[in-house]
Amino acid sequence: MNQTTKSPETNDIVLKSTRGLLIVTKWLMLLGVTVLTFAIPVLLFFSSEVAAEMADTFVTPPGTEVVWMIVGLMLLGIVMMLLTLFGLNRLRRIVDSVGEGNPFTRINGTRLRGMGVAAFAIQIVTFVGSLLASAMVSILGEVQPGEEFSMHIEGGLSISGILLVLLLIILARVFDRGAEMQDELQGTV
Amino acid sequence: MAITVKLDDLLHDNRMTLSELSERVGITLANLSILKTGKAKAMRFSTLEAICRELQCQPGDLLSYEDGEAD
Repeated sequence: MNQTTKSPETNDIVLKSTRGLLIVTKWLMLLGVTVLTFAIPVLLFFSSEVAAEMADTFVTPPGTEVVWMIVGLMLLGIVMMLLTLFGLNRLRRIVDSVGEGNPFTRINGTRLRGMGVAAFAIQIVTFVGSLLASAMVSILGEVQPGEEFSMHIEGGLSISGILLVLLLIILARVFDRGAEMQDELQGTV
Repeated sequence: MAITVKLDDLLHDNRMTLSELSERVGITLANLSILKTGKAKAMRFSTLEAICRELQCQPGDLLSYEDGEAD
């Protein structure tokens, strides 16, 4: 019936390494959010200097709208990292429940659904970010002779990202059904 | 539930306590209490068999159906 002692799964190497990786990633994301949050006001404060620096690099001197586009990209970065933190937090709780030997609960289904929504939102943010970056590169135009500038834009909607969203939503349903079966099993004598 | 478990009556008839039955059939006292109080959602054939063996009864003696009490 109810499991009161922790199963040997708690000491599983896979679970331990997953927990460790999740903690490292969480702190990296928090660091990223903090850096970007401080960098945005600094960038806005020195926007005229940044625009002047860019004027030395590009044939057509870009206006302050490019600085605002950079700020927009940084904001999208913050949103993406917060969404990742949201997903990581839920994944950590699922990993903990696996360690406790009781993963088939309704709350885990809800957590997976939340991760699916977060993964979908990350896809949208990435898509918007790539559009914004492309627009910025086209505004910047050609580089002055002797100057170097390259920006590799990778984004848009990826098949693997969409598959991840679908996988998470299907897994959420699997866990819902698992929770129902667990309830039945717990009531079986 | 419309199914009633008459374990109490059978235990009384056999002059046996729940803990005694628990030892004989190898089912925890907690699980037998759940069965006795009608809180169980399902019952394994192996449990039914063990109880019938120890209490010298038929499954029909242990379970009864009463109309109109379903959840």
